[in-house]
Amino acid sequence: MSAELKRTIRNEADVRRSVLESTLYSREAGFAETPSHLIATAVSELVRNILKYAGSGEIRLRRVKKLNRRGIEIEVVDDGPGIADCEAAMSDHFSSGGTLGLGLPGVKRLMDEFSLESAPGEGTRVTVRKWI
Amino acid sequence: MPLNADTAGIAIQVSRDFVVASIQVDLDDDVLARFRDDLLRRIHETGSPGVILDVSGLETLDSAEFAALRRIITMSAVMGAESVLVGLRPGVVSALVEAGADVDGLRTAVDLDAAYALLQPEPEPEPEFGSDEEAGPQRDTEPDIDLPTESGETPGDSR
Repeated sequence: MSAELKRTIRNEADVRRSVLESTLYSREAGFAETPSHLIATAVSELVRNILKYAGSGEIRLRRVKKLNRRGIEIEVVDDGPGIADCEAAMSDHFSSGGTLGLGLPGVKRLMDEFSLESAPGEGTRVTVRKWI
Repeated sequence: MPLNADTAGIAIQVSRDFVVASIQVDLDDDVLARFRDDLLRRIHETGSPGVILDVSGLETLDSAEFAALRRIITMSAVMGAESVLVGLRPGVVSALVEAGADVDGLRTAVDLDAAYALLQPEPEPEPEFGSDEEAGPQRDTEPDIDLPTESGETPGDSR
Protein backbone atom coordinates (compact mmCIF):
# COMPACT_ATOMS: atom_id res chain seq x y z
CA MET A 1 0.00 0.00 0.00
CA SER A 2 1.23 3.45 0.82
CA ALA A 3 4.94 3.91 0.47
CA GLU A 4 7.24 5.92 2.62
CA LEU A 5 5.93 9.18 3.94
CA LYS A 6 8.46 11.99 4.15
CA ARG A 7 7.91 15.33 5.75
CA THR A 8 10.16 18.28 6.28
CA ILE A 9 9.96 19.82 9.74
CA ARG A 10 10.53 23.55 9.90
CA ASN A 11 7.89 24.97 12.19
CA GLU A 12 5.19 24.22 14.72
CA ALA A 13 2.62 23.63 12.00
CA ASP A 14 4.87 20.93 10.50
CA VAL A 15 5.13 19.34 13.94
CA ARG A 16 1.38 19.18 14.31
CA ARG A 17 0.85 17.92 10.81
CA SER A 18 3.41 15.15 11.23
CA VAL A 19 1.82 14.11 14.53
CA LEU A 20 -1.58 13.90 12.90
CA GLU A 21 -0.23 12.12 9.85
CA SER A 22 1.64 9.59 11.93
CA THR A 23 -1.58 8.75 13.77
CA LEU A 24 -3.35 8.17 10.47
CA TYR A 25 -0.37 6.31 9.01
CA SER A 26 -0.26 3.98 12.02
CA ARG A 27 -3.98 3.33 11.86
CA GLU A 28 -3.67 2.57 8.18
CA ALA A 29 -0.74 0.26 8.87
CA GLY A 30 -2.99 -1.74 11.17
CA PHE A 31 -2.32 -0.37 14.62
CA ALA A 32 -5.22 -0.02 17.02
CA GLU A 33 -6.18 3.37 18.35
CA THR A 34 -4.16 3.42 21.55
CA PRO A 35 -0.86 2.23 20.06
CA SER A 36 -1.22 4.68 17.22
CA HIS A 37 -1.48 7.45 19.79
CA LEU A 38 1.65 6.11 21.49
CA ILE A 39 3.38 6.31 18.14
CA ALA A 40 2.04 9.82 17.54
CA THR A 41 3.30 10.90 20.95
CA ALA A 42 6.75 9.52 20.17
CA VAL A 43 6.69 11.38 16.86
CA SER A 44 5.66 14.54 18.66
CA GLU A 45 8.65 14.25 21.01
CA LEU A 46 11.06 13.57 18.18
CA VAL A 47 9.98 16.27 15.77
CA ARG A 48 9.72 18.80 18.56
CA ASN A 49 13.35 18.02 19.35
CA ILE A 50 14.18 18.92 15.74
CA LEU A 51 12.57 22.32 16.13
CA LYS A 52 14.12 22.92 19.48
CA TYR A 53 17.67 21.83 18.81
CA ALA A 54 18.26 21.74 15.07
CA GLY A 55 15.77 24.20 13.61
CA SER A 56 14.81 21.92 10.76
CA GLY A 57 14.93 18.31 9.77
CA GLU A 58 12.94 15.49 8.33
CA ILE A 59 10.68 12.66 9.40
CA ARG A 60 10.18 9.48 7.40
CA LEU A 61 7.51 6.93 8.13
CA ARG A 62 7.52 3.51 6.57
CA ARG A 63 5.97 0.13 7.06
CA VAL A 64 8.30 -2.69 7.95
CA LYS A 65 8.14 -6.46 8.20
CA LYS A 66 10.24 -8.85 10.21
CA LEU A 67 9.50 -12.54 9.94
CA ASN A 68 5.78 -12.63 10.41
CA ARG A 69 5.53 -9.33 12.20
CA ARG A 70 4.36 -6.11 10.71
CA GLY A 71 5.13 -2.73 12.06
CA ILE A 72 6.14 0.82 11.50
CA GLU A 73 9.55 2.42 11.31
CA ILE A 74 10.08 6.08 11.94
CA GLU A 75 13.27 7.88 11.13
CA VAL A 76 13.82 11.40 12.36
CA VAL A 77 16.88 13.13 10.96
CA ASP A 78 18.42 16.53 11.32
CA ASP A 79 21.68 18.31 10.53
CA GLY A 80 21.71 20.15 13.82
CA PRO A 81 24.48 20.45 16.36
CA GLY A 82 24.17 16.80 17.35
CA ILE A 83 24.31 15.30 20.79
CA ALA A 84 27.62 15.30 22.60
CA ASP A 85 26.73 12.69 25.18
CA CYS A 86 24.17 10.23 23.84
CA GLU A 87 24.26 8.19 26.99
CA ALA A 88 23.36 11.20 29.10
CA ALA A 89 20.62 12.18 26.67
CA MET A 90 19.10 8.76 27.18
CA SER A 91 19.03 9.01 30.93
CA ASP A 92 15.88 10.16 32.68
CA HIS A 93 15.85 13.70 33.96
CA PHE A 94 18.51 14.75 31.54
CA SER A 95 17.62 17.82 29.59
CA SER A 96 19.45 20.63 27.94
CA GLY A 97 16.29 22.17 26.58
CA GLY A 98 14.28 23.20 29.58
CA THR A 99 11.76 20.37 29.57
CA LEU A 100 11.50 17.54 32.02
CA GLY A 101 13.95 15.63 29.91
CA LEU A 102 11.67 12.73 29.22
CA GLY A 103 12.06 13.18 25.54
CA LEU A 104 14.29 10.40 24.32
CA PRO A 105 13.93 7.88 27.14
CA GLY A 106 10.19 8.44 26.91
CA VAL A 107 10.25 7.74 23.18
CA LYS A 108 12.23 4.58 23.82
CA ARG A 109 9.60 3.37 26.26
CA LEU A 110 6.78 4.20 23.86
CA MET A 111 8.33 2.21 21.02
CA ASP A 112 9.66 -1.34 20.68
CA GLU A 113 13.00 -0.58 19.09
CA PHE A 114 15.09 2.51 19.38
CA SER A 115 18.39 3.66 17.99
CA LEU A 116 20.13 6.97 18.33
CA GLU A 117 23.02 8.05 16.14
CA SER A 118 24.54 11.41 16.77
CA ALA A 119 27.80 13.20 17.19
CA PRO A 120 28.65 16.85 17.73
CA GLY A 121 28.45 18.71 14.44
CA GLU A 122 27.08 15.72 12.59
CA GLY A 123 23.38 15.96 13.23
CA THR A 124 21.13 13.43 14.82
CA ARG A 125 19.28 10.41 13.55
CA VAL A 126 16.74 8.60 15.67
CA THR A 127 15.20 5.43 14.29
CA VAL A 128 12.35 3.75 16.12
CA ARG A 129 10.12 0.82 15.36
CA LYS A 130 6.92 -0.49 16.77
CA TRP A 131 5.36 -3.83 16.00
CA ILE A 132 1.67 -4.55 15.76
CA MET B 1 -20.94 34.96 31.91
CA PRO B 2 -18.61 35.25 28.96
CA LEU B 3 -18.53 32.12 26.91
CA ASN B 4 -16.06 33.35 24.42
CA ALA B 5 -12.76 31.74 23.70
CA ASP B 6 -10.12 34.16 24.89
CA THR B 7 -7.48 31.90 23.48
CA ALA B 8 -8.25 30.45 20.09
CA GLY B 9 -9.48 26.92 20.57
CA ILE B 10 -9.70 27.09 24.35
CA ALA B 11 -13.03 28.21 25.76
CA ILE B 12 -12.95 29.42 29.33
CA GLN B 13 -16.16 29.85 31.26
CA VAL B 14 -17.32 29.95 34.83
CA SER B 15 -19.77 27.32 35.85
CA ARG B 16 -20.99 26.47 39.35
CA ASP B 17 -18.25 28.65 40.88
CA PHE B 18 -15.52 26.86 39.01
CA VAL B 19 -13.48 27.97 36.06
CA VAL B 20 -13.95 25.48 33.25
CA ALA B 21 -11.46 25.49 30.41
CA SER B 22 -12.14 23.31 27.45
CA ILE B 23 -9.00 22.62 25.49
CA GLN B 24 -9.93 21.63 21.96
CA VAL B 25 -6.72 22.35 20.11
CA ASP B 26 -3.26 20.95 20.16
CA LEU B 27 -1.07 22.93 22.46
CA ASP B 28 1.91 24.86 21.24
CA ASP B 29 3.95 27.41 23.11
CA ASP B 30 1.88 30.40 21.98
CA VAL B 31 -1.43 28.79 22.77
CA LEU B 32 -0.15 27.66 26.15
CA ALA B 33 1.22 31.06 27.07
CA ARG B 34 -2.02 32.83 26.20
CA PHE B 35 -4.10 30.18 27.88
CA ARG B 36 -2.01 30.47 31.04
CA ASP B 37 -2.54 34.23 31.16
CA ASP B 38 -6.27 33.98 30.43
CA LEU B 39 -6.81 31.26 32.98
CA LEU B 40 -4.90 32.94 35.78
CA ARG B 41 -6.66 36.22 35.08
CA ARG B 42 -10.03 34.48 35.22
CA ILE B 43 -9.18 32.78 38.51
CA HIS B 44 -8.06 36.10 39.90
CA GLU B 45 -11.22 37.90 38.76
CA THR B 46 -13.63 35.28 39.98
CA GLY B 47 -11.83 34.07 43.07
CA SER B 48 -12.82 30.59 42.01
CA PRO B 49 -11.54 27.80 44.24
CA GLY B 50 -11.31 25.28 41.45
CA VAL B 51 -10.37 24.82 37.82
CA ILE B 52 -11.64 22.12 35.54
CA LEU B 53 -9.39 21.48 32.58
CA ASP B 54 -11.32 19.56 29.97
CA VAL B 55 -8.73 17.89 27.78
CA SER B 56 -11.07 15.46 26.06
CA GLY B 57 -10.29 17.17 22.77
CA LEU B 58 -6.59 16.33 22.95
CA GLU B 59 -5.48 13.37 20.88
CA THR B 60 -1.86 13.53 21.85
CA LEU B 61 0.00 15.14 24.68
CA ASP B 62 3.76 14.98 24.55
CA SER B 63 6.08 15.55 27.46
CA ALA B 64 6.64 19.24 26.71
CA GLU B 65 2.90 19.93 26.51
CA PHE B 66 2.23 17.89 29.59
CA ALA B 67 4.94 19.70 31.52
CA ALA B 68 3.49 23.03 30.44
CA LEU B 69 0.02 21.96 31.58
CA ARG B 70 1.43 20.90 34.91
CA ARG B 71 3.09 24.26 35.34
CA ILE B 72 -0.23 25.98 34.69
CA ILE B 73 -1.86 23.71 37.25
CA THR B 74 0.86 24.62 39.75
CA MET B 75 0.35 28.31 39.07
CA SER B 76 -3.39 27.97 39.59
CA ALA B 77 -2.70 26.17 42.84
CA VAL B 78 -0.46 28.99 43.98
CA MET B 79 -3.36 31.35 43.31
CA GLY B 80 -5.51 29.13 45.48
CA ALA B 81 -7.42 27.18 42.87
CA GLU B 82 -7.27 23.45 42.68
CA SER B 83 -7.30 21.86 39.23
CA VAL B 84 -8.85 18.70 37.90
CA LEU B 85 -7.99 17.28 34.50
CA VAL B 86 -11.04 15.85 32.82
CA GLY B 87 -11.53 13.46 29.97
CA LEU B 88 -7.99 12.30 29.28
CA ARG B 89 -8.21 9.91 26.36
CA PRO B 90 -6.94 6.34 26.59
CA GLY B 91 -4.21 6.98 24.05
CA VAL B 92 -3.02 10.07 25.88
CA VAL B 93 -3.00 8.30 29.22
CA SER B 94 -1.11 5.28 27.88
CA ALA B 95 1.44 7.48 26.22
CA LEU B 96 1.99 9.58 29.32
CA VAL B 97 2.45 6.65 31.62
CA GLU B 98 4.47 4.58 29.15
CA ALA B 99 6.74 7.52 28.51
CA GLY B 100 7.31 7.84 32.23
CA ALA B 101 5.71 11.24 32.75
CA ASP B 102 5.35 12.30 36.35
CA VAL B 103 1.65 12.00 37.06
CA ASP B 104 1.95 12.10 40.84
CA GLY B 105 -0.43 14.44 42.52
CA LEU B 106 -2.51 15.06 39.42
CA ARG B 107 -6.20 15.20 40.10
CA THR B 108 -8.22 13.72 37.30
CA ALA B 109 -11.80 12.80 36.58
CA VAL B 110 -13.44 10.81 33.81
CA ASP B 111 -16.08 13.40 33.08
CA LEU B 112 -17.33 16.81 34.12
CA ASP B 113 -19.76 15.48 36.71
CA ALA B 114 -16.99 13.57 38.43
CA ALA B 115 -14.82 16.69 38.33
CA TYR B 116 -17.49 18.82 40.01
CA ALA B 117 -17.92 16.10 42.61
CA LEU B 118 -14.17 16.11 43.27
CA LEU B 119 -14.02 19.87 43.67
CA GLN B 120 -17.21 20.40 45.60
CA PRO B 121 -16.69 20.07 49.32
CA GLU B 122 -18.71 17.21 50.66
CA PRO B 123 -21.65 18.42 52.69
CA GLU B 124 -21.18 17.85 56.39
CA PRO B 125 -23.01 14.65 57.20
CA GLU B 126 -25.89 15.32 59.57
CA PRO B 127 -25.29 13.48 62.78
CA GLU B 128 -27.94 10.82 63.14
CA PHE B 129 -29.23 9.31 66.29
CA GLY B 130 -27.96 5.85 66.96
CA SER B 131 -25.27 6.14 64.32
CA ASP B 132 -22.45 6.38 66.81
CA GLU B 133 -21.50 2.75 66.74
CA GLU B 134 -21.51 2.78 62.94
CA ALA B 135 -18.65 5.23 63.06
CA GLY B 136 -16.74 2.06 62.86
CA PRO B 137 -13.43 0.51 63.57
CA GLN B 138 -11.46 3.49 62.30
CA ARG B 139 -12.40 5.31 65.42
CA ASP B 140 -9.92 5.39 68.20
CA THR B 141 -11.95 3.23 70.49
CA GLU B 142 -9.44 0.52 70.98
CA PRO B 143 -7.87 0.06 74.33
CA ASP B 144 -4.55 1.73 74.85
CA ILE B 145 -2.85 -1.53 75.64
CA ASP B 146 -2.17 -3.58 72.55
CA LEU B 147 -3.37 -7.08 73.19
CA PRO B 148 -2.15 -9.92 71.02
CA THR B 149 -4.84 -11.15 68.65
CA GLU B 150 -5.61 -14.77 67.91
CA SER B 151 -3.22 -14.76 65.02
CA GLY B 152 -0.52 -13.52 67.28
CA GLU B 153 -0.31 -10.12 65.65
CA THR B 154 -0.37 -7.02 67.69
CA PRO B 155 -3.05 -4.61 66.58
CA GLY B 156 -1.92 -1.11 66.01
CA ASP B 157 1.63 -2.14 65.42
CA SER B 158 3.12 -0.07 62.69
CA ARG B 159 4.76 -2.44 60.32
